[in-house]
Amino acid sequence: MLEISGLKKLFGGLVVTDNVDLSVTAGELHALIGPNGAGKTTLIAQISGSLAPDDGRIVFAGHDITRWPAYRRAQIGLSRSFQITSIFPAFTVLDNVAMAIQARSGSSFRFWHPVKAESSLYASALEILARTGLDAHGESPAATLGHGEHRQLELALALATQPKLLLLDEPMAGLGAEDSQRMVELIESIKAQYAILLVEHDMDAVFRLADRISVLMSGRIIASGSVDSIRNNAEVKLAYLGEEEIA
Amino acid sequence: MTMPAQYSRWFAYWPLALLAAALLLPQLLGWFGFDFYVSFATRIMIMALLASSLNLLVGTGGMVSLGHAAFFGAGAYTVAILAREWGGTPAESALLSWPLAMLVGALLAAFIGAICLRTKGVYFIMSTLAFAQMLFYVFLSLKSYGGDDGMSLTKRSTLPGIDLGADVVFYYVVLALFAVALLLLGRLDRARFGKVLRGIKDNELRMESLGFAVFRFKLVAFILAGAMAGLAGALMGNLNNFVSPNMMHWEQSGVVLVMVILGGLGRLWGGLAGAAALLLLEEILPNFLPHWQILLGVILLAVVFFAPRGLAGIFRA
Repeated sequence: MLEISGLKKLFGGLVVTDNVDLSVTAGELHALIGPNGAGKTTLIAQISGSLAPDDGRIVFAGHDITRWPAYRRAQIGLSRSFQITSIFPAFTVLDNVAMAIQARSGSSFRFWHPVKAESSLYASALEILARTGLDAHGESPAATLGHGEHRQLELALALATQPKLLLLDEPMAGLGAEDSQRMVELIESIKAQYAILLVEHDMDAVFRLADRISVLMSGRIIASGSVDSIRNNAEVKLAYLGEEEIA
Repeated sequence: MTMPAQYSRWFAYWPLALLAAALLLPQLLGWFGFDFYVSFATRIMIMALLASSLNLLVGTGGMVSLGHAAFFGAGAYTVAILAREWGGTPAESALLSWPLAMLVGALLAAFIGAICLRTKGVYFIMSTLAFAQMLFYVFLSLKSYGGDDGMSLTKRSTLPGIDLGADVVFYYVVLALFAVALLLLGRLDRARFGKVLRGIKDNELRMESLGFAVFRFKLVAFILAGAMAGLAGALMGNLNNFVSPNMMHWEQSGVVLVMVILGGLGRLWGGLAGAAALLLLEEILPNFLPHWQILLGVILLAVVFFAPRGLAGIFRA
């Protein structure tokens, strides 16, 4: 589904993405972990198209998308969520999701017919709200939601574009224990339907959700493998997880 | 402002009431001997058309253009140059020259927009301003079309069976065009395209990542607004039988922007409310005060602080 090979990015003299090879296969949840500053968000930005790599190739769903603008990647089913919530605060929650659905359902160069009358758009939006546990908040202005619900809406927007691959950039960011738990359950409930690349700090969540884990350090993938092999990898333990956390 | 339900139901019909009042206005002014004000009311509607077109960019799409007068002036000069060069031919007909003014506005907007829309924020403001000023200086130095003196038209455009030279007739034609423009803007606002523009204003990055080709939507909005401003220019040239480079000056762009903010950003009636309020104040205040600009400034400040959603926003909950 997603094949990244030899990806390289430099900020001045600093190598932030160093010859990264990474793949996500259909139906797989591949987790990307690594300490702060390892280059996870930079990597996500290159995959989603907001940052151009200096070298290497990104192939998604049979297309070489390395030089594509972000919107074209989204149009062929590559969807992302943001680490820092990025929604439409002036819209209602329902209109937020309907906006995302509109992106993938026909042309939006329509100037006459009221969008509110497009019942299929809003039916799909309600369905997404139900799946993400936001059905009680449809008519609330998005700006008035709490942080936990903002994270749910962030995920709802990513889901609403009918993606093949989801790039989830720290969906648990800033969530308390209870909200975190709910988010893990939410991702668990959808993971069978999508290929997912998950960037996350919460190790319990990663170990519970991932099919495969890659570890990023200073821009390089230092280890990649099953949950157990990463859990027991000495280099990873030393570099990142810390002895006591594993014990 | 909230009001009891039985009033708010009738309140929904106020656009119709306003239209009826606009239809009766020339008669009323005639009875009271204020015929001069028919042209004044026409001017308000033309400026409202211009402000409404800018409101589509600034209020709906979040594109703060400070060069909107370029399209206004271009539309006006289109009509004036056609009349000068091909007077007595069908080029004088409003059926030809007004759509051409819109086309010139649209093409100019396509060119300026294709460049300026690649910048954001303050850089967008400055680049739109720069293009408008360039056009201003071009026409300032075009001696064959009057240079800085501007250019007089011998008469208004012609329409088959209708005498646009009569102020009242011209008033009704402008009213009809403005009403149609508002209807189209209202439909557009509620349609997919309008929602996309509002989405771009709210969170451009997210729109891009959802799969919207943001630049294209902005450019189309820019072209539509340019065409509408071109029409407003054609009408203003006709109203005054005069065009001048000052129509493109950045001060003119600033005045229209003030109208939009005063009337209500992103509100359908914002352009009309802002144009009417500003022109009326400019008309009335000098009768009472020698230094009326100070009071105008105070009134503008009061609106910004006490009605931040503009005059058209006061009556919305």
